[in-house]
Amino acid sequence: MTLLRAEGLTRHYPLPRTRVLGPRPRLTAIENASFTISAGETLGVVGESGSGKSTLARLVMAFEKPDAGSVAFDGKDLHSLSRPDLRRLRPEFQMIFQDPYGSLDPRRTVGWSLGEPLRAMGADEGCKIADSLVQVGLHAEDATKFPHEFSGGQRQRIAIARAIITRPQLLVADEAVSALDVSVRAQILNLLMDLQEELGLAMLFISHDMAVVAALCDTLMVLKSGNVLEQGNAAAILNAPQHEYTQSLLTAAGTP
Amino acid sequence: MIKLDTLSVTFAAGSALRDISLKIAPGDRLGIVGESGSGKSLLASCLMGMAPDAATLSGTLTIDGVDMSDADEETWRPLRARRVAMIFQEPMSALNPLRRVGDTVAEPLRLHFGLSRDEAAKRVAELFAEVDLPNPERRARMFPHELSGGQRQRVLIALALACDPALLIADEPTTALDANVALQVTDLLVDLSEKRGMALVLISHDLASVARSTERVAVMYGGDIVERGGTDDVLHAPQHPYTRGLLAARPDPQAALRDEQGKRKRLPTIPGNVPPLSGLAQGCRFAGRCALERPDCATARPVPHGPRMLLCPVVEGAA
Repeated sequence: MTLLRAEGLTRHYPLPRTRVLGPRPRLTAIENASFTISAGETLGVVGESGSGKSTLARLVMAFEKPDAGSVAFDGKDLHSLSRPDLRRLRPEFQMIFQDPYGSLDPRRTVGWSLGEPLRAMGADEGCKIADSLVQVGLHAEDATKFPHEFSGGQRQRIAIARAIITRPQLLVADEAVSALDVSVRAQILNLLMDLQEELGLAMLFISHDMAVVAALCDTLMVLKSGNVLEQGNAAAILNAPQHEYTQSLLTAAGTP
Repeated sequence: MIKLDTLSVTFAAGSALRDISLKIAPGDRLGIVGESGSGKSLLASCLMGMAPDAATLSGTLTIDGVDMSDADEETWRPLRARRVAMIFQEPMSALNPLRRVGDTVAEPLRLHFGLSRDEAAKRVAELFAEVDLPNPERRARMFPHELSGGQRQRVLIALALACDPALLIADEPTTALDANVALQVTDLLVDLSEKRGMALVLISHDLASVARSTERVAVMYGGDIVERGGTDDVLHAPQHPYTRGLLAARPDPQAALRDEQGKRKRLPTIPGNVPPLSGLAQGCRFAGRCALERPDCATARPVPHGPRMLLCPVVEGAA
């Protein structure tokens, strides 16, 4: 069952004028990207910086509007919903970022940060915070601690706990394991796989590292300077990349 | 050329490096692999004579036959840059945002070699060409923010090369770069080391780049070198339980994704976390996370054995 359907997503950003009265040149961040994600399935998006990966995530999360194209979540067009309607739908799709320290308030306890999405949707906190912490491999008591008391891997677990506390159907992860050490990264990837099976999560997983994407993703989309170079079954692309650029990403992720 | 003998560094919280011995000969390319908190960057600062003030040091460091263990700043200054140079992870924060990159690179040339402004500018252009920066004269007049991440790192490599160092220490030089650019920068470092006969110490948590660019490798965990040897040997046939775990935890892009039941395959992991300095075991640092652990591992300090100087009494070291 298709949970998310993006069609012809295009987003330009205006650049500064090069001549005083000239037109403003445009940067094409993403051009005509279409894809679907079903429940329990993971779409990997790979590309170098500037390839449009994060713009894609922002469009899917409805943080900004596309210049053309649409994103339908569970049949509802996210970008034509009214603000209150969009707000009501937000608990259904959540995001985790690269730097967990930057996305947790250093002066609030972990429990407070975890409760924020619940308060925003007017839900009862109940024992959800403790449950959520346990689910990501931490302890219920950790809710009273502050972010600096945790290691990088543990902080990323907290960010994941916050993302799943609203019981979303879709998780968008933007370079979520890029800042982690190899052994910690493996733990977090396994955690994401566990949660996906447990909760039937659909995932949009953004990374520059082919090896990481290979471990997690069912389908794959390769981006370069805003253009979709190839997309399809992950194993097929990894075993027989059609594009030189995809091949170079694979080489860069090469096994030692 | 550079010889480090039983270097130990201790902080108030605990010991951060234990009995590290290393030899670096001219033209050597050595990789130091380890995760956050393994002590690899601290080791690099010790090689530059820049250990933090709060640390207590023991052991000896010899550079070109001169004992530098108790050397003061005056003795170190001419050695830094001219004998040993270093590049860091984040090229943006290592460059002065208000200075043209050419001026930054010219500074050591004018300071150490007394070159005139014009001579220095000419040398900067040569250095920029050597690190494959396109259009060197134009790049030299640019400010750091006008360059891409890979170009900035090339500027820093040029800066490090300015005084013809015999050894270049690169501390996570490619972590902040895109995968493709990272490859180019690593290849450039190897190229420069070969052309100049310059020794290279590459500190990284990225096993792929170490495999690609070094001849020997030392694996660090919790302030110990747990295993060392030829890069290919160690990475293809790891012996220490930590090295094995680390290599297994890397996802393989070509491996099958799912098992027979159609469930996604989990990656092998090393259980637990790297403990804080104060929580490291007195014996083997890896105790508590190790699959092969024996009861006395946490208390008995392992003795390096075999050709790999393996720091594990349980594993029989083979060649």
